[in-house]
Formats: sequence, C-alpha cells, structure tokens
Amino acid sequence: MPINAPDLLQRLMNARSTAQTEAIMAGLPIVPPEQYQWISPDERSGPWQPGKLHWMPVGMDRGNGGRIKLAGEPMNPLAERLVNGMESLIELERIRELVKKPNAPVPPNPREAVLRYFGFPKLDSIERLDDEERKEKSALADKVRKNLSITLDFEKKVKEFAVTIRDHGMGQTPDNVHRTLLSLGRTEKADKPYLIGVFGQGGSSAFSIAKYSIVITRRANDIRKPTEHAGAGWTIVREMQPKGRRDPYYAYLAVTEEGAVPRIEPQHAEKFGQGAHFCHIAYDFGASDSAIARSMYQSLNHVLFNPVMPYDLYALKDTPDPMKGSAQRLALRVRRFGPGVALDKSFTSLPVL
Amino acid sequence: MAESAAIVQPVAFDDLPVDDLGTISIRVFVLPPKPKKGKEKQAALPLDVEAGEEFILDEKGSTPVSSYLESGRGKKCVVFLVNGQRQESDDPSFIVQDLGFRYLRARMIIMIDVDGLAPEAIGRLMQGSRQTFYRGSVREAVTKRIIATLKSDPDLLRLELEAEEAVSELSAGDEKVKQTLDQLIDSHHEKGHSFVEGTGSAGDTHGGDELGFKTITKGGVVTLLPPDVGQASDYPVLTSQPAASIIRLRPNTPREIAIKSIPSGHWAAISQFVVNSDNKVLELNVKHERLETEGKLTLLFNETEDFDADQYPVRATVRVMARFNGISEPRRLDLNVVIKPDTYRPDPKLLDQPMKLRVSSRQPVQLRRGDTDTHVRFRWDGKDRLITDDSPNWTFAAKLLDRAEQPEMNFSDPIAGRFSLLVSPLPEWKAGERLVFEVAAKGPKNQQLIVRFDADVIEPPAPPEKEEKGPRLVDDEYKTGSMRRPPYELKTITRDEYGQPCWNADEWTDEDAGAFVTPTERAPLILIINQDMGALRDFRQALTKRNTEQDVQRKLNKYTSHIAFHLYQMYQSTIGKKDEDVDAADAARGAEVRRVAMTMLKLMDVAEK
Repeated sequence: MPINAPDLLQRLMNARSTAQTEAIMAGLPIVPPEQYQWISPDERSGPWQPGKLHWMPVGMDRGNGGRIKLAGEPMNPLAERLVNGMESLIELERIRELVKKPNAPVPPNPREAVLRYFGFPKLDSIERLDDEERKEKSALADKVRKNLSITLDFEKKVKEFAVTIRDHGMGQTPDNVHRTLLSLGRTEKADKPYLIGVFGQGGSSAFSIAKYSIVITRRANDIRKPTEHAGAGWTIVREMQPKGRRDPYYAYLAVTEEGAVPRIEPQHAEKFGQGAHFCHIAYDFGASDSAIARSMYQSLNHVLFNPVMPYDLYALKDTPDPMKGSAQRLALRVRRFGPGVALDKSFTSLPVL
Repeated sequence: MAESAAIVQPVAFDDLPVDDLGTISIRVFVLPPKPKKGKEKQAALPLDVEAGEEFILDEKGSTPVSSYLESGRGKKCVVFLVNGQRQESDDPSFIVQDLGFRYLRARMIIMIDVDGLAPEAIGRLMQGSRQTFYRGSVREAVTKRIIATLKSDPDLLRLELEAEEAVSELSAGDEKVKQTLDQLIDSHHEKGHSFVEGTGSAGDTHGGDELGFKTITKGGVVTLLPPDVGQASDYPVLTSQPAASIIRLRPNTPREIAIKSIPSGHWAAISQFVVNSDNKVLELNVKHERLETEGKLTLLFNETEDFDADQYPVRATVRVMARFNGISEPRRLDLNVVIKPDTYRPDPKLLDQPMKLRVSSRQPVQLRRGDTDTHVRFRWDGKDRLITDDSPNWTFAAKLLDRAEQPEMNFSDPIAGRFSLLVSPLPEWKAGERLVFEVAAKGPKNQQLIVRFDADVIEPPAPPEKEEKGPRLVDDEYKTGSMRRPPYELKTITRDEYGQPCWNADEWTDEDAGAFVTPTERAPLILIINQDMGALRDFRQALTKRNTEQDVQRKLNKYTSHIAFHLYQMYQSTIGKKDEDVDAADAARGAEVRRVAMTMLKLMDVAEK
C-alpha cells in the first residue's frame, strides 16, 4: 500500500484495535528498527531510505521515556488530551481574532478567553444564573461541546480498549506536526496566558499506556497560510525497546529525516475536516471489562472537575454524555434540591498569606 | 582604597514574595443524607428535570457524594484545581481532622480553585506529573486559608449540628434499655424483695449490704462530664429525654422535654427543681413542672414579627438544677438548644439597583480570637450577579472603625442576597473588647449602601468534649444520701471484643447470650449482653426485612433489657451464697442465660409471625 493511498485516511480513522493497526502498518513501506534507528542528532544506526517510513523518537529524543511515562493512573493522560483539545479550540478563535484585529488584547486567562470567544462563563457558575440566562449560556456551552469528544471502544474478542480524542480546533499542517503534537516541552503555552497547560507534554503520557497511538491532524482552512499544505498529517506512535537496553522510548513514523510526518493529499483529506484525532489503541485501564465505561463518566468528571470547556463522552454507545465536570453536576444537584436542603457556598479571591 | 559594591537585582527571576502569594477561591457543596431504605422513591428525579439532566442527576453509590468522586470509596473529596483540572486532592480525613466536621465527611465536597495564586506560587506547587502539589510552604499557606475560612462557617456548623442531632437521637437506644431495665428492677423490688438502701457508689462488698453503702464527703455540683473534668463522683445525675446532646426547637412550636434521674428511682427523692432559661435569648420561654416520676420542661421560642430568619439557627443553653433528699450536692444538667425553622423562607426579590443592606447576625456579633475567621451574616436586595460577575458592577468593602490596624476581611459570594463577612481576628484583640465595623456595598456612580455592627471579642470555644461522660464533682464537698436500688453498668459486647472472660471461659463466643460481673470496690455490678450472639443476629436480620428501623430497635431494646434483668436477678440469687464448684456454677449460669435468650427470641419470633 503506497503512503498516499486514497483509502488510507479512512482506514486510519477507523482503526480501533491492534489487529487493524498492524494490518495498516503491514501494508506500508516501514523501515524496521533493525535497519534504522535515530540515536542522537548526529548518529543513526543505518542509512535513511527515501520514500519509506522510519521510526523517529517523539520529541527527537531517544531518552523520552522518562518524560512520557508520567501517567500514574489511566484517566489523567486522557484529561490532558482533552485539555489539549480545548486549547486547540481556543487558539483557533484567537488566531481568527488576530486576523481580523491584529492588536486585539490577549485574554488574561482561559476562562476569559472562553467567555470572549464562546460566550459562556465558568460551567459551574451557569447553574447560579436566572432561568433564561442559564438556558442561553447552557445552549452556547452545548454548541461548543460538539467540537470536542472522547470515545471509548472495546474489542470484546481480545478484550482491548481504544480511546479516541477528537477535536475540531485549529489543527496542524503536516509539516508542523513533529514540532507541535509530537514535540516534548517545546511549547509557547507559558507565554499565552489564555491557554491551559504549562509544560507542553501532558497529553504525550497517553502514548505510554497504549500499544499504538494513531495521530491525524489537519489545519483549519481559514487560518492556513497559502504556502502551507492543505492535506492532513498522520502518524502512528509506539514504544520501542532497543535490544540490550533498559530504557524504552516512544517513536513515530516519519517520512523525512527532519522528522516530518506522512501526509494525506488535500483531495483525500477533505472528509477529515479540521482539528486533531488521537486514537490510543489497547489502552491499559488496569481492568478489561465494560465496567470501565461506567466509571469513565465519574472519573473524567472528577479529573476535569470544572473544565474550561465541555465535551462529549461516547462510552461504548452512540449517544454522548455531556461532560461539564463534577462542579457543574454538584451545582445542578444543589439547585435541584433547593436552599435549606443542600449547601453550595463559595468564597472568591481569598488572599493567601 | 575603599571598594564600592553594587547590589545586583535579578532581572529575569523574581524571588517569590512571601506576603503576596495571591488568592484562592473555595466552593463547598454539602448534599443531604441519602434517603433511608424504603424511601428512595421519594428522592427520585424531579418532575421538571431538563433534557440531558437525567444522567447527570442519577446518583449511585454508598454515600451522597459517591457518584461525584472518581472512585466510590469516598476518596478525594477535597480537590485543588488549576484551570479547572484536578491537580491535587485530599481525602475525608481533612474534613474530619482539620475542619472538625465529623458528620459531614460523607456528604461534603470542597473545591479549591488556585488560579488566583501568583504564577510563581503556582509554579512552586505544580509538579511535572500534574498529580499532586508539592507539599511545601505554599501548599501549607493554602491549607491554612481553607481551614480559617471553613472551620467556623455557620452554614457548615449548622449542617454538622443537624447531623449530630440525628445521630444522637438514633443512639438513644441504650438509654431506653436502661430505663426499661430500671422499671423492671423497681417493680421487682416493689413485689417484695426488700432491699437495703444504698448510696449509688461503686459496689462496696464490705458491710451489711453486698451492694454497698458509702458516704462520700467530697462535694460540688454533680453533672455528667468527661473524665478529665473535675473529680469522680457518683449517681444520681440528671438526664433528659430525648437524650440528644442538642435539643432541636422549631420557632413558635412548644416542645416538651422530660428531665429524669439516673437511676430513675431517685426522682422521688427530689427536694428542689430549678430551671433557668438563657438570658441572652429572651425569645426562649421555659416552663417547668415537677411530676411524680420526672420533670417536664416546655420550651417555646416566640418568633417576633420583625425577627430576621437569617438569625437562625439561634443557640441557647437551658440549665436545670435539682437537689435530692439526703444529698447536699445539687445535680446539674445543661441542655443545648438549637432553634431553627424546618424550611427556609422563600428567597426575596432581588434587584438590579439594590436599595437595602443589613446585618442579619445577632448583635453584638461575637468575634472569636484564634486562627479561624468569624462569619458575620448580611443581606442585601441586589442580584447575586452584581457581585459575582467576572467584571462586577458592585463590590463589598469592610473596615474596622476607630482602629489603625485593620484585620483581614473577606466576603463570601452572595446566594439569594445572603452573604458573610469573614473577619480574621488580630492577635492583639482582647476578650471583652467592643469593636465597631462598617460594611459598604459600592456600585456605579458612587452609589453606596452602608451598615455598621457591633462586635464583642470573645475567647475561642473550648475543644470539644470527649464522648465518655460520667458523674463528675466540680467543686465543694457534699454528703451522699440513700439509694433505693444498687447501681449497675449495662454493657454490650460484639465479636471484636470477644477476647475477654465470659463466665468460666477465657473468651466469648457466638453461643453466649450474656454474663454478669460481680461488683467490687472499684466497680459496680456489670451486666453484659452479647450483641453478636448467633441467634440474635439471625433474629435481627429477619426483623430488618419486615420492620422499620425504629421497630427493630424497639424490639431489640426489649430483648436486651429482659436479658439484662434476668442477669440482674441471677446476680441477686448469688448474694450470700457460696458456690461449691465455681466453674460448674458459672457454666450453668451461662447455659441458663442462653436458654432464656433463646426462649425470648423464639417468643418474639412467633409474635412477629
């Protein structure tokens, strides 16, 4: 199967199991690690083979295992991926704003950015608004929710989970994927107060608890520069365990020596739309039964307790659960109970000395 | 040559300013207890549930907050958020040990938003793993702020008291058993067993009465207190029924409280019965009446027309004093009364242009010294969002009048027009000082609403009393009088405590129904009932299936009191007798108590069916 096969994108988007992923890989011209390994910026284990895909360390760092293996528990990397998706949606609107008004002030924090670009306040505070306004703001939040989702799939025969995080945010051009989505710690987030993350590598921890991760991304048309490629970039990430070494590292399929990922041509990429798709295959939840689907709702709502933006959860079903965090759920519960029965009390901006 | 030194200030890296860490926001949720078994339907989803809310509101799990936590085991109920994402958590031990809300731990979730902290402070907290905060000085300062804010929050204290009240009323079973047993013993005496009057002291095996006479020459007021207060004393003491540590009273609704003596037979010897209401709560009216077997109090809180409902809950102490014939030392009982209505008044109409601001705490406000903030309640008629919006049109401000140094003062967010001023006391304030504060709501175009209030500085409350209470002498000397019936202690045992002697055996088993321990100079007669006896457990399980919780308790109390009475009679029959074979005699007693217990369970079971 050539790298630019017309049905490749569809197969990548549909892949949810190890078998499907390995079937795709089997058809691709991949140079095995025995023939080529990136060892350091100046050293390779074999020659580059033009026209073929090579395994390249994530972040161009063969010692990336220590920086990627930070998951701790299964829900945290997924929360980080979702946060990345939220940032992608905010950043898309910020870029659009700058196109129209180059001097537009920087939003001071993510909440302000969401209020400015999407029109709703903190999700937990919506429950305290009067009926009409609450409905209006909830509708705005629900509209945005459709642009970010997390989907849980389960392959019963082999008891294998796959988790897909899909955002319809700004996306990346194929030439830039290795410098952004596949980088480690190379971030401008700390200088952008309206973004959420700080370290620029949180989502990467999901690579460490999946057997394979499929990454697809495409830049939103309206913010893409004319010189940038209009297709989608894609890759597959996996763990590499070099023989005779104790430190595994994580590598992705690259098509150039500089680390660029393979691309889907624009005419075949249109159906992907924009944004990013991360599918983590054979994701290790520590258990292998469908009870994960039930606990996922609670767990994600607890980890993203009061998320900057809402999202949809498809946990082994076709209809989504709206995910707005436990804070919103509690605020709603208290509103339903009424005053005197339950308590919802807040103190804002208390100085810490 | 003198050298000149230049002080180079770092440009790129600022030192973390110790006194300016920034701010945090706290939000506390407390859910009501889960409905009791059989009443789940009443807690079903509301009829006006909106689309998509069914799943959100569907609550499962062992506690009211289980479905909001990551696991169902009640962990991580205190969460610290950075941009809405949990980065750190605490378990319920923080709520119990640091905040002191023992009864709310399974119903409470605290959310701390640290986004307002200085970037440097957040930098110190955050770890690369993003799963915990670094437990250093910034984390400690945040924790201190949370404790100071929540520990004395009046709403949380109210909910804790309500929960405690409910538990106190549930746990009154033992007292009921004792009362039943007292009645059984009294009626037993009246039917002909002439009994030498005793003193109520620990059973003294010397002298003519095996159960003991003793004249105690210490004195003072005797009341039930923890063992580290005053000196050990003896019965009789006063108790109330209900025996709850807090008496709940609804406004404008009289409530009768029975005052009894322990042991109950002593009531007849009462020579004086005095009741004092709380002079700080003039709305509380207390009438008392001395009846044959008990005293009757009628409590009534008269809510005046202009009474502000925000003053609830109102707390008062009613003091009961009694003297018994032959005992010089009076007995005292303090009743803690909490007055509050069942339901809150409907929320007031709130305006975009507020006109009113007033203090709704009872004045003078009591400002406690110490580390925790005092909450002063206010009401205004402005919409909440005037304050809580991201760019609010109105703000609250407070100042202490006539003093140069101002305490740290913060406000809670208004809910339906109600809010609190949190005052962090200054260390130099002395108990007894009177302070005057001014609070202003400031709006656009220099609009201002101003109100003042007086506050008295008081010492912080004493640490909570320990649970084990007994009669304690507080001062002076006294002489004990007579007692119609010997004292005893009723105890229960469960499997966890089986490792103690039972009759002639080294330990208890599921086969044992009960035992008595003869009195010594140090301890009275002890009657022990095995709550984990196999047949009793089966019976209790069967009862639970077809009875309400109260009925089950009532029936179990009946069983316990009758078995205890049998043990009591059994002990009496041993007085003055000497067993030839102690082991055999004890084994026989054990077998007899078991037979009685089995017979009683069988009879009760038949009656059930």
